[in-house]
Amino acid sequence: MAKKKKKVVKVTKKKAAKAGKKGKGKKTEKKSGFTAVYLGLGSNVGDREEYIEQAIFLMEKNPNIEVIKRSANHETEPEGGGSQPPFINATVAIKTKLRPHKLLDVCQEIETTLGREREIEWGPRTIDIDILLYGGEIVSDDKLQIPHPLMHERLFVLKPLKEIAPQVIHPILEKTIEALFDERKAELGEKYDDELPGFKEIKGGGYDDYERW
Amino acid sequence: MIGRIIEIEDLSTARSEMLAIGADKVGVELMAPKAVSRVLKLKGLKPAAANIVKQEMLSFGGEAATAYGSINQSVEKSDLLIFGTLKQLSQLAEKLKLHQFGLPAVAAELKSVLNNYSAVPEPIKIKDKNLVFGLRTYIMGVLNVTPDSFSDSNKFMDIDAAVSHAKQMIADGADIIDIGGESTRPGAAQISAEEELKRVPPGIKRLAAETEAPISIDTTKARVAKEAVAAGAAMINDISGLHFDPEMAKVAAKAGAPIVLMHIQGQPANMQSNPCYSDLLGEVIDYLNEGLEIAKKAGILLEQIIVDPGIGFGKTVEQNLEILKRLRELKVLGRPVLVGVSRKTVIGKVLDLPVDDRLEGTAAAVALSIANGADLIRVHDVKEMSRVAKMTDAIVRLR
Repeated sequence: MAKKKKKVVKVTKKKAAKAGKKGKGKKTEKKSGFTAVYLGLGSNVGDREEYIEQAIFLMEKNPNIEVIKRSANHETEPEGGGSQPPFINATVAIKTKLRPHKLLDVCQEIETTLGREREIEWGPRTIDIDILLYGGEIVSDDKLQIPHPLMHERLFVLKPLKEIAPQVIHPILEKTIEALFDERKAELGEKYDDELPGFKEIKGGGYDDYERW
Repeated sequence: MIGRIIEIEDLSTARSEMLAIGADKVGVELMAPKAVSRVLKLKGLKPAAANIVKQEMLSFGGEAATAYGSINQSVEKSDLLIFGTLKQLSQLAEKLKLHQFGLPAVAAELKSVLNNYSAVPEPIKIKDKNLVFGLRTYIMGVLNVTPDSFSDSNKFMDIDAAVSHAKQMIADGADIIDIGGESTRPGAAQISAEEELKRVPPGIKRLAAETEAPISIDTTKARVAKEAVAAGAAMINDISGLHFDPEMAKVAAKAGAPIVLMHIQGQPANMQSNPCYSDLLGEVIDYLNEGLEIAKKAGILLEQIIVDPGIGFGKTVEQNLEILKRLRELKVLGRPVLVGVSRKTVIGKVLDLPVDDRLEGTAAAVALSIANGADLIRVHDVKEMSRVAKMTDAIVRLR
């Protein structure tokens, strides 16, 4: 394990320069001394909840990642409707030494491990992992954008994220996740309904369950 | 003040216990390998090598036991028991690299043994199912399409009945359906591949068409495995651990399917006549390791292999109980462990109950197997054992 760590440090140093400017100090959420990174997970094929659990477990197994909190699972109609089955979405907060691009590699590796082989782009997703926020950092290149460029428009991201990080500030929009959620909900007006699929919290996972950290 | 004993079996428990008393973070990393102890058994060392290991281990504050005659080289070979913390053992491995007498190879073995023992195997993909080991215990439901299997005699011979039974098992929580046409019941006569081929592939075809759950083919015959894979089986379960049919490894390699290697002493027809071991766990592990070598040579990926100690296959009641108790030792192979104990004779003998009355006994054995490191369980009573596994997982895999 020690060997592995050394390698990671080397890579991250190299990548650090590329990883974009840091946000102002006050925007970096410091909670018991670490920068919190938030990931969004989604699955809309097969045993969706199981895929979410598997993805979170594989993150925990990675020696460079510690999962500190997770949201409940939320069921969501896919954007644009159509014939795609609904998604299960969740968010997790992690602690990691990995720089953003290296973390992206890890996320993609987990997607590959758990994914079906006959994957078509924009088709049903076995498991999708997005980096939503990396502390207060802003990253923008052709591989990776942090904050995730669509997160503030997506209730299926904002709702589970609000559960575990209501007061965290979006480093570009400079608003809390809770404020962004309320805004988006207000925009949707009457269309928003807690009981509708897409906004419904479903069983499994669960914020409270993970409070043991 | 009351002192107490903390159970620490792995590094992460060691770390969290130290952090809980406020130990320094850097210190925790340095101290953790000193909190976990292991006893390693090495077989057949030359006395010179054994003596050096003992001497070096003593210098690190550990210990190693050798055969008495090792000291004056009056024995040709000595087995070795090495006692130490992970820290001492890794120091030993580093030091042994510098010695002669084949000790660099011993150092490499030491490292791989320690790594395998604590590592969680990487996930295996079967059809669209991910077996993510460590997350939970996976359930293999038994579907016999044989007229003489010991548990479901004749009940599932009819193909419609078999398919509907499989569907029920999937609904009850089976992750994999294990379908077999040859009874491996103690004393069962061997049947021909033709007979097996008549029973199994049609069932697999139907099942694969009607359900999404991956299907495993329980056979020792390469021809049957090949036909079964063509019919839609996604996994091979070979109770001979690649020891009976020399073609089996090639078929599995070509199919690219995950394979279960099981330990058996003898053949099903005679295996219970006089099971005999001088080192039970050692021999089971060696046999499975041989299977891994055969697999590797044939081009089967190590990552695709699951091992099974073969409860009831050439073992007395006591031997079966000992394997269940010491199941964790199989982790040294670095592969996921499957346990099939459901309704078996060992339970019948302990409880003095017939095969249709072994549910509780099975539950106890399943729970203990999971606690002792089983990653998959092969069971008949899927609904009940899924619950047993889920409850046991909640305790054992708490993280």
